[in-house]
Amino acid sequence: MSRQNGNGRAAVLERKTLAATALLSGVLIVLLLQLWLITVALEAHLAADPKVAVPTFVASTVCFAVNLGLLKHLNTIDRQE
Amino acid sequence: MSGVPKWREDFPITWGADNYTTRREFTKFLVLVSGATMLGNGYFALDRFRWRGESFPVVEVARVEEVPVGGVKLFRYPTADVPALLIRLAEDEFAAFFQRCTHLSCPVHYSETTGRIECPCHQGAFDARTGQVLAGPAPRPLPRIRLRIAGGAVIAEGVWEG
Repeated sequence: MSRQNGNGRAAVLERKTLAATALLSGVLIVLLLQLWLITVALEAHLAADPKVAVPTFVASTVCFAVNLGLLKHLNTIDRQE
Repeated sequence: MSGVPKWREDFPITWGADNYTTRREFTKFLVLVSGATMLGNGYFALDRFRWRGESFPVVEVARVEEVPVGGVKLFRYPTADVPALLIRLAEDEFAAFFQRCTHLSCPVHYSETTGRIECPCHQGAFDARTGQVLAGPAPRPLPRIRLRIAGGAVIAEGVWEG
C-alpha cells in the first residue's frame, strides 16, 4: 500500500517537474524578448533618439505581466498534492 | 505530512524532488530579472519625457567671419558634455550637428573633399546639409542643431526633432 502511495507521489512529482520545466522555458523565452527590448531602448537612448522608449517600455511591461501570470500558474502547480 | 515544516520542502532528498525545486526557484529568479528589465525600460521611458521637457539654451557658437567657407568649428551644445560640429557650407549657409555617430558614438568629422560628415570607426558617412545617413552602419541621421544668424553671429537655439 505504501509502495503504491510512493509510486503515486513520484508520478505527481514527475508531472509537476514537467510543468515547471515548461513554465521555465516560457519565462525564459519572454525574458529573452525583454532583453532584446531593453537593448533596443538603450541603443536608441545613447543615440538621443527618444521615439522607441515608450513602446519598448509598454512591450516590456506586457512581457513582465505574462511572466507574472506564468509564475502564478507555477505557484498553483506547487500547491497541488 | 502536515508535521513537515515548509522550509524542509525546499531541501528535498530525492533527485526528482530536487529537480522540481531547482526549476521552480530558477523560474522565480527569472521573473525577478524580468521585473528588473521592465524597470530598466521604464527608466528610458521616463528619460524621454525629461528630454522632451528640456528647454535648449540659446547660445552664440561662432562669429560668421570666424569660420571660412568649407571650414569647421567644434563647440559644445546643449551642455558642456555634448560635442558638436559647426560647418560653413556656403557663404551664408551653416549647419551644425552633434558630433557623436549614431552607430557607436564615435566622433565624426567633416571632410571638405567629399563634402560629407564621416565616421572613421566604421566608414560611416552623413549628408553635411541634413545629417542623413549616406553610408555605413549608422541606424539614424545625426541630430541636427537649429541655427540662426543674427548680427554677424551664428546662434544655436535647439535641436531638430526626428
